[in-house]
Amino acid sequence: MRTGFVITVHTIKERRKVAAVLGWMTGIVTISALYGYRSAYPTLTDRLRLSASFSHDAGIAAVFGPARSLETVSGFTAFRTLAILPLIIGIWAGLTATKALRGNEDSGQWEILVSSPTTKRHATLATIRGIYLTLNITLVVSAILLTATSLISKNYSVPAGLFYALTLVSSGYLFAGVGSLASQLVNNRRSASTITGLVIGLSFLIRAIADSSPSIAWMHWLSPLGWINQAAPLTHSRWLGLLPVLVTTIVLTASAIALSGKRDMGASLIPERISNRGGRAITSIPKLWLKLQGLNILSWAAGFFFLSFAFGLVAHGATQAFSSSSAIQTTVGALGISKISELFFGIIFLMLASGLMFAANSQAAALREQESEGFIDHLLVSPKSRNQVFLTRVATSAVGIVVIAAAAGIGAFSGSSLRSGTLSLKDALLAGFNMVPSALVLFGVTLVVFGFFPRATSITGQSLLAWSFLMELIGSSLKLSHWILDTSFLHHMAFAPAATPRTGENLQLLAIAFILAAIGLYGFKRRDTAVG
Amino acid sequence: MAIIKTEGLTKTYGDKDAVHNLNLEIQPGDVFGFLGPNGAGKTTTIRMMLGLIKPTFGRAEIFGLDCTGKPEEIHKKLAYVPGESNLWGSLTGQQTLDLLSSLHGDVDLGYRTNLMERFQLDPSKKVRAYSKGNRQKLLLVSGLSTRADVLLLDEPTSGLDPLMQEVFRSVVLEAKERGQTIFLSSHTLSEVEVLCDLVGLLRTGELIEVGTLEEMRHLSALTYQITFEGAPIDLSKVENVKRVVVEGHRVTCELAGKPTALLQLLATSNVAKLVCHEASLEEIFLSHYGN
Repeated sequence: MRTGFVITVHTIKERRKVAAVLGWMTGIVTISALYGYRSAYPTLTDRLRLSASFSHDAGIAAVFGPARSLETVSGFTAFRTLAILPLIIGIWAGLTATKALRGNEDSGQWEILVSSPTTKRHATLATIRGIYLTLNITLVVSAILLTATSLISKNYSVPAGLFYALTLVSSGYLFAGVGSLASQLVNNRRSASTITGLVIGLSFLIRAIADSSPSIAWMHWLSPLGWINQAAPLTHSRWLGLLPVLVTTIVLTASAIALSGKRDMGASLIPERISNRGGRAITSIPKLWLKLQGLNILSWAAGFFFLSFAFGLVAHGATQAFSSSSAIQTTVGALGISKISELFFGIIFLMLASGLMFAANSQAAALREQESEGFIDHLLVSPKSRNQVFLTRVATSAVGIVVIAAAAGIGAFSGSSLRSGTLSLKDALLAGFNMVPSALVLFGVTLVVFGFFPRATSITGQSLLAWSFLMELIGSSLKLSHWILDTSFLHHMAFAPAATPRTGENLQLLAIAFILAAIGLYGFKRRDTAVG
Repeated sequence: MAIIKTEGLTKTYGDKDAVHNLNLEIQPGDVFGFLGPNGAGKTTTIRMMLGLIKPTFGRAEIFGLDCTGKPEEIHKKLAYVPGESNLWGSLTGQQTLDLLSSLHGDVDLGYRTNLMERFQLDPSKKVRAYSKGNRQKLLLVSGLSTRADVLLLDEPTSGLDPLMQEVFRSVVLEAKERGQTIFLSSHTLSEVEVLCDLVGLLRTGELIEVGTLEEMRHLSALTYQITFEGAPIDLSKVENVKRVVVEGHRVTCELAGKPTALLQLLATSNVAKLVCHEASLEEIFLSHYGN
């Protein structure tokens, strides 16, 4: 009993900060959507036009889900947030579960836990309980923010706000259950995370297909994200809609706990292919980096391609909706943008740039992991210099970032071509590549931190990214000084394709990124390697 | 000229010296045993020699080259086997060997195959699927198959079973016959006694003894456990006997030197059981250096 309590508390302690940040993010994104709508569509006429143009667009429904009551603030807020927030919370919760269960088993910590006065089953139960209680932190923080917004804005009732918060976080409980079960099925964290990611991706895909046509709407019931959409928070608040989520979460959790007690430590229900006689020889450091990072970069590229493809598909409908807003038209005129579709893609590429920076930061974090786990020592005790090890790794990441950016451009062009053809391949690629310099500058900063304060690499990148994202989200509406706005990495990016990428400024950013990488290398060459 | 040389080598973390004023000279072809308990500074010393960490004071040289300057020049003629290390789990054993061999360059592929057979290493498995012992075999095969002039071995037999430890010893003796210089860090005195010409003892970062095995022989006290049928006799006055502890009918003592006097006395006593074993490294430390 006591051991289970300790495991639960330890699980919560390790993740409580991220859970609270997730709650804050949920609240801020919702509040931003709510007030953004009120500002962009101030009159009922604007709102009815928006509702008419969005309600019948299959592409928009596929990406964002069903459009309900778009002529109301709460209806639009739910529409804007319900596709993305449960996805983000679900991904985090699923990956947290695989890390806490299979990740700890991979590293040997699980063995120490289970050798204490407890059983495998009880340890699994205590860990999952810790994850669910951690998700409760997200729930409480977002519920407080949404309740406050309800009282201030009067756009929805307090119970509706609470139900909305619960609906968003319910995907976290469910996908944590998926991650817990996947951790019992395979014998390493990477595979468990892949299975969890696939389940989430498949849920999104089925939900998108179900929403693309009323004739196949029944498919909603095949997808957890479809169930969450059916709960219709903020508009209809169908409590029964969450019943399948609750039942599935219980079934997944109970299965994971039961299976954990039946299998051997380190084993799995699906046996791993541990032999690979035909594996390609790895005979150089660049080949090693490609082997270790290639799949990761391709996954990012595929994700960016499909995401921008989906946005390309909905561009036509979104453009029409934008046209119905007199406020947006005024803004477009003031910015000197000739087409509203370009404004839409400008916003999309700004969002994608945040994702690209996240990918860049994950590359720096992966480099640090190679060092902290002691892998890099094997390279540094060979006749290869620190220059070679560092530069080949950085070059691989930089090429990866360019590939991901290109995939985003090609995806947006492909999606747009299928519907309206409003975006040329050249403009799409330029908009994609336009994201690269800012991402590389962030990468460069994290490399400097890696060079001098290696243990702070990942947290610095995440903090800078969160700051940049926050500045873009609230900076202009709060009319902050450009000195503050300039601290955002995203602020230095041209609004392509609405604005032509600024070659000179981009070259300057690339030069800065190059200098930062050189400073990082200087630090790395001078310092001790830091294991652990 | 010494092939490995340290002068006043010191590494400080905060206000604590992990290694303090270490002075060593190892000649080409020597097999040097570097002994010490956990946390004595053995691995820190080796990491400074490899250029992975920089000395706070002093210097380390291998082949006359400063280890902090361009360590990659030194690594061309040096192989390293860590005692505990992570390897890339997604690579197979063969891919890991190929990678490490390609990076080093000077590897005898025929000998590598021979070592894989002797260590009974299946290289087709993914490293993730290896036990600790098999991962250690992989590192040993990789390091020992090089034709490097210097082998730095940091507790290389950790995780190996006794049979594989025996294989390791024979392989190191082959390297010794080829004239390779070997720097062997270890907890295991018996392993060092078999393999090494020179021994250095490190304690809390300081080198407290260094010399040949013959010179160090006085450290190798034997521990005797004698159980008497009746009341035990007094052994504290017997020649070469020290640290006598009496527990009921059992007497534990250490013998540093010839056992003649002790055996003569025991031959005339009612001894029920006599057990003799080599003192552990820790016992030697306790015996000769306090604590």
